[in-house]
Amino acid sequence: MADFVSNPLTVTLQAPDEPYVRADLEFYGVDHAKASFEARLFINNPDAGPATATTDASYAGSFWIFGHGGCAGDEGHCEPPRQRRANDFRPAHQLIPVSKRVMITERLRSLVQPGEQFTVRVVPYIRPESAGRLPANLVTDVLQFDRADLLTYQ
Amino acid sequence: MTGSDLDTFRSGLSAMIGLHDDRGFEYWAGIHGLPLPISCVHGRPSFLPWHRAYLYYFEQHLLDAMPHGSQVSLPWWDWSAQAGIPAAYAAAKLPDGKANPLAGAAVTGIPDAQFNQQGIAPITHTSRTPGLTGPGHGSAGLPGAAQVKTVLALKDFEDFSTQLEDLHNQVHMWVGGTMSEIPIAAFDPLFWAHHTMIDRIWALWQLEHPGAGVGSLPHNQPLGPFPTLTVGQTLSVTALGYDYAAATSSAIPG
Repeated sequence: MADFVSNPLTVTLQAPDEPYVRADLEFYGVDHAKASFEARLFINNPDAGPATATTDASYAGSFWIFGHGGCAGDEGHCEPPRQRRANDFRPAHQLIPVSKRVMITERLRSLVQPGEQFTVRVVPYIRPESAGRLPANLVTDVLQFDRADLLTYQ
Repeated sequence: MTGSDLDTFRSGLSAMIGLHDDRGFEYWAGIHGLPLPISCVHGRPSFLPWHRAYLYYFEQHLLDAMPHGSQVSLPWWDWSAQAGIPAAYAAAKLPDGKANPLAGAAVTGIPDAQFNQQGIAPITHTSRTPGLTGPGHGSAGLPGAAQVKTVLALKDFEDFSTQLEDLHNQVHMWVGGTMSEIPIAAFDPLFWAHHTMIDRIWALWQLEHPGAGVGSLPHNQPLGPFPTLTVGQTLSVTALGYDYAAATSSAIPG
């Protein structure tokens, strides 16, 4: 069974001028409704894709999504409410997007000069048996997020 | 865990698997995912307290299923040792020829309609496909001791919880098969050993960072569907009646 890679996305960020002791890539509004996947991060490698190894010099780390695996309810069951009422004391909806943080301190230092603009190519990787078992809509476009920030600490 | 402890644990789990009411394995595995409602908490600060409460309730029912007076606790799988799936969970058969209840379990109690809602074929038994198989990954795709050490050094609870949850996700995907899918993951007996390891790492972090608490998480937040536990009540493993040994050793006199 062939490996299955869904849509990669690229973001452009800027390294700080000042020295730092820690650097994190933080992804906000990450969808986790579909299949589980690993999101591999490659710095300044816009062509990174399914064939790019994690031993590649541009590899900076991964985050992992333990996916909800599709909706088992009726229509609308897995759609988070657009706005939560002030007196809604129920637990938060299961599918509210999450944030993911990857510590990339040493990789950023070695690959990006202070003050330099750089790209991060995010390549999602789905286990082949999941890709083979789950319907196409759960393994397509699995990688979705609102924004990515570089956070550095002095 | 000694050989006799392992036998006791296996017999307790088998007894739980044989129960099809709200004391049984099927019921407690189903709490995490299917059948609806899916109750597990991921991607939020209560990830660790919720799963500690889940382990606690599961272990209480496991103890109920063992001979009176048994003191066997849920074992943890130290995946950071990079040795793959533990032999006790990997062998399909026991030396006496019987099926090993730790190797897998039937996936039962889930209406086909809940699988079929999006065209997913119903699963009747757990499966595993260990080892990441993508480019650059060999069989060493489990988090290592260095990664655990990095996570244990984080001082802020939410930072620690987020990073530990990512290691947790990585292990679920490494095991593959049933374990890689939230709706059915808890039906794999290995799920419980994995989550006990996660709980152990949280307990070790609590020892290293006394007073760090649970960040902005309210202590009085209930942890449904575990009606007698709040976030605050999960903060001490000893108050819940267990602890994690740093190392174990046993000897027979003579």
